[in-house]
Amino acid sequence: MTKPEEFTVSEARPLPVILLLDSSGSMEGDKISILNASVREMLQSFASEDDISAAIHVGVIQFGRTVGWHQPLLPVEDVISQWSDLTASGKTPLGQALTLLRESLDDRSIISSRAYKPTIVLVSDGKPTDDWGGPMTELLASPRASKASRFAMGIGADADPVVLSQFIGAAAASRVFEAHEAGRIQKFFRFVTMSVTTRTRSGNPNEIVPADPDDYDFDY
Amino acid sequence: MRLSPQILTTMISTTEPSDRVTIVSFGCSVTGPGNIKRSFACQDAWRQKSWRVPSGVASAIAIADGMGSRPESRAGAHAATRCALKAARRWAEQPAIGTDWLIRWLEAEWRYAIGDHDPKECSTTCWLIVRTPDSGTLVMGLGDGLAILTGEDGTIERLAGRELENYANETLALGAPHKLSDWKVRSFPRTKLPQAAILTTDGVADDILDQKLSSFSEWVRSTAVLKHPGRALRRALERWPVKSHTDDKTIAAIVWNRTTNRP
Repeated sequence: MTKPEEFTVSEARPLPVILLLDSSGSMEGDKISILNASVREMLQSFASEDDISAAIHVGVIQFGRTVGWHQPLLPVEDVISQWSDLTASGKTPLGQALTLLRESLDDRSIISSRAYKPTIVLVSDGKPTDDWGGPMTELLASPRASKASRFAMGIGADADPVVLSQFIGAAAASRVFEAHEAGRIQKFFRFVTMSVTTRTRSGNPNEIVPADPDDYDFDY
Repeated sequence: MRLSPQILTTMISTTEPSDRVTIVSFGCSVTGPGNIKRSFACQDAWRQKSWRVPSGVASAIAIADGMGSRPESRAGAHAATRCALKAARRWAEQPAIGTDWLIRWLEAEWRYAIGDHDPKECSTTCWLIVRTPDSGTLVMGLGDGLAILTGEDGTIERLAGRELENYANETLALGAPHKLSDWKVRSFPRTKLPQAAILTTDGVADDILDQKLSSFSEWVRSTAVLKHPGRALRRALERWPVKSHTDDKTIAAIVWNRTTNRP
């Protein structure tokens, strides 16, 4: 007699977390170092979560000298085992990254309809150097992308608040986080980590209940 | 409060024209670990009905998945299954009137059944399969969930409910804005008697591998020959093998078994 193990998936429902990270030349130095360390810390925090009701999958899209998946969307344990730090060089082609993000969100072979709503995090320290307006409009008009929980952080005075504000749109807890010093990057990632893990521990991980950013001493 | 899973099993033997067929309809809903954790009752419901018609026996099953964040969704789900079968029986008397009328009756019955409650608070998916000897098999549903029809030759027909842009636990529902055309409807001719018709809520549907639908159907059909198929389903759903699953789970099925000792 057939058993349910023979026709069911083995994995928990995925909860995708996609990071859009600025790896342009202006991020060189402390900023990229702390960004890498913050991502690593977030991955470890995700992996150490127990009593969860979703499998956290993490992917990283970088935009700098190249645009693409620095880390494909995979279960967090796999991401940790194959993680390599980002390096900073090149311009800030955010428009291309937004297009890749939209195409990936719309592709159900990458994010299945079985998945919970994704969390998307944009971190940048400068103004986009390509055409970003059209890709941003298309992203926000995409039914799947518009449902995602979106966070954005601008690093330093050169970060473009208009771009970051548009990205988060009317999403829950829609405030652009600002880091006037590199150390704030880590706090921002801890906040995102808390938001995601709160969802995975809840009875319904689709309910987006952000952690309170005031607990994390941010500048707004 | 955690409520016990609902288990009902009915076995009916009858004869369809030109063939001897035993009809077994059964199902089960169990509370998912997510609702157990939150001390919520099961928000899923299922119901079955068989009744005599001049040409033999008609059978119907209905399932519903109340939207978890709504306070009266459990009541909405139970009302939906009740009203679906009521509408199905009315429709089976005059199937030529068309399925639009079945949907309209179902929705009107549901609004009446929830009484003074705000429909939004009772939001629920609803799926129905009805077969009569005269009109064939009708499969229809609103919202996420899955219907599987296994033909006489073993072919699988699948009707899935989730819209392409939706993620888990996002769904169209009774009590939420939708159009008549949002109902998914498929009819299968009366000349083709299926082996089985199965409905599942998303707590089961999302965990079944697409390429293993026939194995799933085979498992359900093998359950039908047991003395207590509803109990067997309950045991399986309570031991669901998917890691960290949370959702309530429902399976309801009609299995048509042809007897083999015909002259």
